[in-house]
Amino acid sequence: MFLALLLAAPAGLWLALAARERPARSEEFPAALERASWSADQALALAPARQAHAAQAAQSGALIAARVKEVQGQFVLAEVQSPIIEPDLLAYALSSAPLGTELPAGSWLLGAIGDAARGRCLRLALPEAFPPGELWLAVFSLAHGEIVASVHVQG
Amino acid sequence: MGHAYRAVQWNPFKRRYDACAAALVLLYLGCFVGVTAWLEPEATIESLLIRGFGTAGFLLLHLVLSIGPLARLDARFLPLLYNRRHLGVVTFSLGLVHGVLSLVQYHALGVLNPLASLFQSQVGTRTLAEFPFQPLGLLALAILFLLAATSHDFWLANLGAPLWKALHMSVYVAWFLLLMHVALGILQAETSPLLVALLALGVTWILGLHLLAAWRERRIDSKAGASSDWIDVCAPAEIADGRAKIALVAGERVAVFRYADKLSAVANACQHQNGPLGEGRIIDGCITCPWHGYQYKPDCGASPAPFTEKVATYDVRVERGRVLVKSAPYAPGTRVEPACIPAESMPRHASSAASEFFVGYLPSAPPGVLRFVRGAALAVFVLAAALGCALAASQRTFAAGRFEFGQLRKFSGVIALEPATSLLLQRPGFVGDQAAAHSHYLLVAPGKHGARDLVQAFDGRWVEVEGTLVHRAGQAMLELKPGSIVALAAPPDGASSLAVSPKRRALGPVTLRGEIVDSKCHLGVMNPGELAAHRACATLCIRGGIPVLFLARGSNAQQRQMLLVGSDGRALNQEVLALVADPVEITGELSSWGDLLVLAAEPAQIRRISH
Repeated sequence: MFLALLLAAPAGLWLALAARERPARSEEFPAALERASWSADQALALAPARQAHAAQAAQSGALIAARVKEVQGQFVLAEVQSPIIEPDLLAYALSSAPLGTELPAGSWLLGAIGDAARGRCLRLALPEAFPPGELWLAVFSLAHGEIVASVHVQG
Repeated sequence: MGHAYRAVQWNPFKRRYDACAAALVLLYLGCFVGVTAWLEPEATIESLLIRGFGTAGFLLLHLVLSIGPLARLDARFLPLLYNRRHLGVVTFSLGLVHGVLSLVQYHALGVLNPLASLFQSQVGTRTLAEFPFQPLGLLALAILFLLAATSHDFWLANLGAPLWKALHMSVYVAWFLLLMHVALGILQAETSPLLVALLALGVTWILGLHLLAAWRERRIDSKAGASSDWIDVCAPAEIADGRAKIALVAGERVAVFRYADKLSAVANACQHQNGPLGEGRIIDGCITCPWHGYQYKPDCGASPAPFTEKVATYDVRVERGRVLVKSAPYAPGTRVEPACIPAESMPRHASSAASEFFVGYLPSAPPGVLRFVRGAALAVFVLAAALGCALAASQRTFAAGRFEFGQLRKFSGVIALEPATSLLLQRPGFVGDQAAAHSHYLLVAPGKHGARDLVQAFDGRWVEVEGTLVHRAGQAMLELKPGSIVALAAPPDGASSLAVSPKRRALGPVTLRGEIVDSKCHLGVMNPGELAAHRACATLCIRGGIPVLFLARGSNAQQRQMLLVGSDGRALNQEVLALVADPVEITGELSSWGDLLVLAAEPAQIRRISH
């Protein structure tokens, strides 16, 4: 019997693997679905009004650790220690002073995640002059408008 | 050897053997879990452990099944055979951990008894790909349990070697069931060719080894002498001193041993586990089995006192320079006068019988055997580490979903029952139109239960709730802490008067392809919480009232998740059970309720796609 089972094993394996189904995919998403997506413009429009929340979060100590991995010209790649809630649409504020004390007007920017699947790296666009020393960030999920993290980056 | 019951007859070799087995398992688990956690930070610890223990057990079973034929092909592998039963028990233990974790993870805390769920949750079985693979694993585990429980010599002595051996051959049934469990389970979702190649390689290895060993055994049997009362075995000089020649006598294998100038013949099968006595040695005047060192006196086939094992004996004589064995055996333990080898038939030079022979219970192993075993163990360790890393790296990327297990948060918002049980949260600092004024946090109860019953009384009211956040790709969910819902008399400070329910905005008819998933697992409680391997769990969750999501997939790995409801807005939970995790195409009306996408369709508009 054991020999019969041994011989049946390759056949069983072949049948099971041949039966595998690929996930169903649409050729392209209909326009209706695309219309429902959040646009970057919408997100940017919402960002400035969240300054007060950034300050509030910073005062409550909602900070997560981060470190600058790389500075590439105008961009900074910062790695945060905790996963962030919304990896796709983020806004962030940059300041050379701790959050809660000052957030310069117009400091809100849109951020993109370097590796969305990982959700741990933020690629941030710097203002014209990169402030020396410490750099403070406030990061928001734009999809839900919550504060995700205030990130204290060692410049 | 033992003549009285002892739980384990420990000796230094067994201790080293078990220490190596434990280190091997830990090394594999460390590599698998470590590399997966490093490459896939979003993978949940439960998934890591379930996969780690499952693959460890399955790989160890391959090792267990390899040792027998390897030892048949090369006697230097015999030390690995000596304590193989402990490896079998470890295999079962790993499978048990995998099984219990899987049962708890995928089948507990639902509306069905976990075992009932295991057999019922996979509702539709229209194709082989939908075959319920989990019961196969349970059946294999039951067999492995039976084998582990009867692995002790107590059962061997009570059942008798033939029955015990036949029972333990069912390990091949368990192996076959596990092979199908893997192929019809995780490999229906995982796409790496390496995983398929490794599984096929495992089958080829096991099959090839066994066929090779069987071919070698058949060669021995093909040398059977002509059928008569006395069977010609060989010339006396062909048998090395202290060793045996195996011959087929009346359909049974007989071992003819030479010791000095004497010859004795006994049945070849050891009474312990049917080990090949003819491949053993004469040690301390006794035939010593190569498998576990059981001993028999050559002239009577009885173990020395106080042991009681006995094997059949045969008449032997030397005639015209040939060793002849009588085909009729004596009852086990019957003394037979050994045949004397005439001086002219004795070998002229010393035989080469000095090759090393391993007996597990002796204080030290021969150095050559020890070297070989160390080399083999090292190779297995390297292989385990390599396989742990390779399997970990070959897994489908885990989604960036997250379940903040153990972290309770408080939220204030308005309870909404349509289009799904949700908490509407005002977006902080919001400016813009009302359609984007709030976020829908889907609400669920702990376990695999919806939250409708918990929040129904609060429909449309401001509440404060406490719960654990689950989130993925723009959609959040809150697992409510039971009893934490507090109705608020007025909106909290700073909250504007919130529209009780966002306006529905029709986006038009759509036809989309993808998969029906349960929202809780998909958003992050299980990771991965989709595709065939997760079907049973998703079915149980949806059966228990967890909101149904449709995961639309487009080309280039695009994905959009949306709530799936009936055309009249009703929950479809009980109507789509047979389609969960299948590749489907849905035609329906798409709409947005604030940030929530909703696809309204009737079950008749959901079509299963066959590739």
